[in-house]
Amino acid sequence: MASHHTVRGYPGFLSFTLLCLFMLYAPLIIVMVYSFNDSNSISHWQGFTWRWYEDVFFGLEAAKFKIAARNSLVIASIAAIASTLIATCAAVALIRGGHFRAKTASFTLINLPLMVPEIVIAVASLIFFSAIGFKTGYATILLAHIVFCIPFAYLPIAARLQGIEDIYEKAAMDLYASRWRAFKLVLLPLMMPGMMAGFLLAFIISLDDFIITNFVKGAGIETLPTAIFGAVKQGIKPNIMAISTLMLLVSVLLVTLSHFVGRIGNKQK
Amino acid sequence: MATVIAPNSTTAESSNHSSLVGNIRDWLLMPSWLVIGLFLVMPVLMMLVYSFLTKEFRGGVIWEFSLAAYDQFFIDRGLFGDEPIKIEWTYINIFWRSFWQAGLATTFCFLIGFPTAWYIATRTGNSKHIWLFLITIPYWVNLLIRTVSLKFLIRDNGPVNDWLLTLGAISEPLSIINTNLAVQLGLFYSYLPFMVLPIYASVERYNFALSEAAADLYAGRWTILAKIVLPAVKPGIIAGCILVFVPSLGAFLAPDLLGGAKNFMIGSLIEEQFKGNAGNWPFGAAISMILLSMVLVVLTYYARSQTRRENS
Amino acid sequence: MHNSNSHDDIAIAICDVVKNYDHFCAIKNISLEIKDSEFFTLLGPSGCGKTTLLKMIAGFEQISTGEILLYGKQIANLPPNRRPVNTVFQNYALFPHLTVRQNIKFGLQMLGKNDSECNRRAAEMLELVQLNSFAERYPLQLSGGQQQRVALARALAPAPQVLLLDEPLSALDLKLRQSMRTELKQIQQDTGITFIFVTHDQEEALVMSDRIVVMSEGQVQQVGSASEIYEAPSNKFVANFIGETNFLSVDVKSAIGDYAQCRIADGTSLQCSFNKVHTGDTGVISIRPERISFCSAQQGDLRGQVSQRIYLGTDVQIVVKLPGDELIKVRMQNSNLVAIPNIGDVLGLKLEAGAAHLLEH
Ligand SMILES: Nc1ncnc2c1ncn2[C@@H]1O[C@H](COP(=O)(O)OP(=O)(O)OP(=O)(O)O)[C@@H](O)[C@H]1O
Ligand SMILES: [Mg+2]
Repeated sequence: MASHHTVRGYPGFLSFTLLCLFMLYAPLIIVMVYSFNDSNSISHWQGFTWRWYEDVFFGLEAAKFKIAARNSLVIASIAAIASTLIATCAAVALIRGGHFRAKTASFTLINLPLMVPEIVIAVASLIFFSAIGFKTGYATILLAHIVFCIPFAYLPIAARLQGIEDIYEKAAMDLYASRWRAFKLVLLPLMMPGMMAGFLLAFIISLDDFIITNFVKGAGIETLPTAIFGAVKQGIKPNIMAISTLMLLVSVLLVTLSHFVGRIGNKQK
Repeated sequence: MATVIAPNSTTAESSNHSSLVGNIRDWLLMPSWLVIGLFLVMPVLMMLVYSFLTKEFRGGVIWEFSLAAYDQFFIDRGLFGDEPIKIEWTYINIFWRSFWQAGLATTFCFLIGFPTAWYIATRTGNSKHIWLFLITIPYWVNLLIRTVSLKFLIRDNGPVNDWLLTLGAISEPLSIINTNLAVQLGLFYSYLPFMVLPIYASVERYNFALSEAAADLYAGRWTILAKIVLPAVKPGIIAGCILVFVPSLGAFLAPDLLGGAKNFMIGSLIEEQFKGNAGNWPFGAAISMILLSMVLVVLTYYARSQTRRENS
Repeated sequence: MHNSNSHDDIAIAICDVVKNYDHFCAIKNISLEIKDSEFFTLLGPSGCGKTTLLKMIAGFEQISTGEILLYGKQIANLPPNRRPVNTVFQNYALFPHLTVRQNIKFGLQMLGKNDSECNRRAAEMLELVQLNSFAERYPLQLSGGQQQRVALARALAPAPQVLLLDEPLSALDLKLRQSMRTELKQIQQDTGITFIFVTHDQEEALVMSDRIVVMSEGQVQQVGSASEIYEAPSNKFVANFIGETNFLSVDVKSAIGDYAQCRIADGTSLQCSFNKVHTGDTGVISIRPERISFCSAQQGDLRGQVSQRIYLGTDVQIVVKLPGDELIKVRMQNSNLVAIPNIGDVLGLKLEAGAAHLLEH
């Protein structure tokens, strides 16, 4: 027993872990708590209230945030679906396509959006769209989001596909299934948890993005992050904290969901 | 003889008729090539072109070749452009500060992240999953919201100062916001999970029998950590460091929201070039190119070291 | 070219098949004929190309040259889903997201059979492998042996002309493996489907097969029934690979008909079975350990001193050293009825008639 503990356990590492968690959670929890603070000055605790949440939904800026939220959701949904489809095709080709010349190049290309700093993608996209005379707006946000969501969707899909032996497709084809049917009836259901996880990841990433959206959105269109950023520039008002809390809960919900999807998938395999 | 000809002709027709992908592989790759090629590679190339164009005063460019952007970045010709050439330090200093801040954030993330990753990876059963889950959640919370939360927490009239004043620990509010320290805190806080996850993955794969063997050969636990564990989990550490360093270098939200005007980093500098009429697109493109090439150098170095590891 | 009359009784004809991987020749020109309704086994050491050959019949690997005929029809250029041949995979490859019944119905559905037919056939198959009560379970909820039987049922359901089995029993434990041998053989006889069975377990091959091909390094060493291969191995590799044997180098003194008179190193003469040898050749004889018995030192065909005694449970193996220093293994039943020699005893060895078998050199 003793040797087991000496090589695995180091004194103080637990404290570091707790410190780490404390640092990650403290700001979030405090914002959550203060979003219920019944005070205009917000820094001083003056009792519990729902009024900032009412303000978010029915207040002066409610319409603005509602539109921004809808934009965010629509863009995230489309971008996540598109990037999941593209990433699925790419993963099947790269992982089931054997060895071929453009393999490394394709792999690098798919992961390129992860390697280029966000601000550089933002600048490059803005310049590109303006150079080809593409009017900035919904479409440009969407295109940019699809691009940087692809690697995030790709990761869980590829990981899942790598864990599925090709013997299943072979067995299906041995049992008279055509390629397409072997894919549809055997590989696709097995890949589904990976695709779900990829979709959720891409969705969160798109919902999360500020910098790139801020560059390519053009005037008049706001997503939730850009709207919040704009509002924060005027000072952190309590309703911002209420919105933040809501978005935080949505993120946690999505992550938990993708976590469980992944676990179901692993169990099935 | 027909027997020889028939199979040969099949081989030519479809080299791999049992593979699921077969000859449609290129079609499957086409969408990703198209989307990323058209909307990322092309834009970056276009940005390179723009960095060599002449600026237009209301934003945008004039299509005329010019080295002005790079000139402005590196060379100081005085206020009216007629003084002897000197090195321009303003922007180099901003880069230097960004590297310094990013490096510092990476170091702090490592110092806290490594023990955390180790601790989580050495848990057993369900508790490991729970710890891991707890660490990943903040990573998925909107970065803007996390940064705003931090700003709310540490600003002059924020809760931290409020409590400290109430407790009587301080008589004046601490001014943390708009300092380098605040930016540092922001970077650290933004990218900490990026450090923990890859190191965790490495420690997971680490063979603890190595530690036991070292202990058996009279090494103390800290010697084991330094001489056996660290070399073994180095790939994870390097990956974590890159995942923290690269986004920190180009970070925009933390310096912008927490740093204020004095504590500019590359991200804010670039953003400023595209904001409204005061912008300078070629200059912004040039800064982005310089940043991108530096990042690519780091990544190439990393890729090299990875291949070397695999070969050895 | 091919005799069209033979199409009915030759299920699979493999003609001059060669398989090259990038820099490696896995199959070096193999020709085989597998008869209709036969239990045919590919036997050989690991890496000899058994799986490769099977995959080429199934269509998962392309042949480099040669041809494969299924009842006289060329199939080498058909994709796997167009070959009326099914496979039982080594680790079963049961679709984890489908139930046992859905797995079994899969092939039938792909062939476009209607629902009632699929269900009827699936029920038949479940009956055949005795898994009626497990039909709605998922593969992961089954034991290894049950999964094995589902794999078999799934491959048999579309009534293939030939069934390919790649080491289907290797993942099972010893007891289960032994009971599955008889079950598999029974199913083969009942259905009358041609089975091509891959194994590297010689006992499995001997017990189940109608005919066996012994392969080594991508080549055929011998084709024959179990007893032919065991009793009359055609070369040293086969004799050594199947069962245990003793080798002795000999000079052929004279050859008459099926028998040859040979001389071993210490000058003793032995009569060996064989047909095509010439006086003056050198060769190797193989003698199975269980075909030798002990007698007094004055009698017998050979003489030697006991140097080792190994206890094997049902048997005892005695190692005898001949005057020329060759070691001969002798196997005798562990029984109280016969005295088991002690180490150091000098004894005579008597060979059963035809036990010494002269091999090609
Ligand atoms: N895709 C491949 N590329 C190159 N060589 C291969 C490939 N597949 C198999 N081989 C080689 O071909 C030879 C025969 O392989 P095969 O799988 O047929 O052996 P096997 O007889 O089935 O062995 P085992 O009993 O271990 O399953 C081996 O030496 C193997 O290394
Ligand atoms: Mg094999």
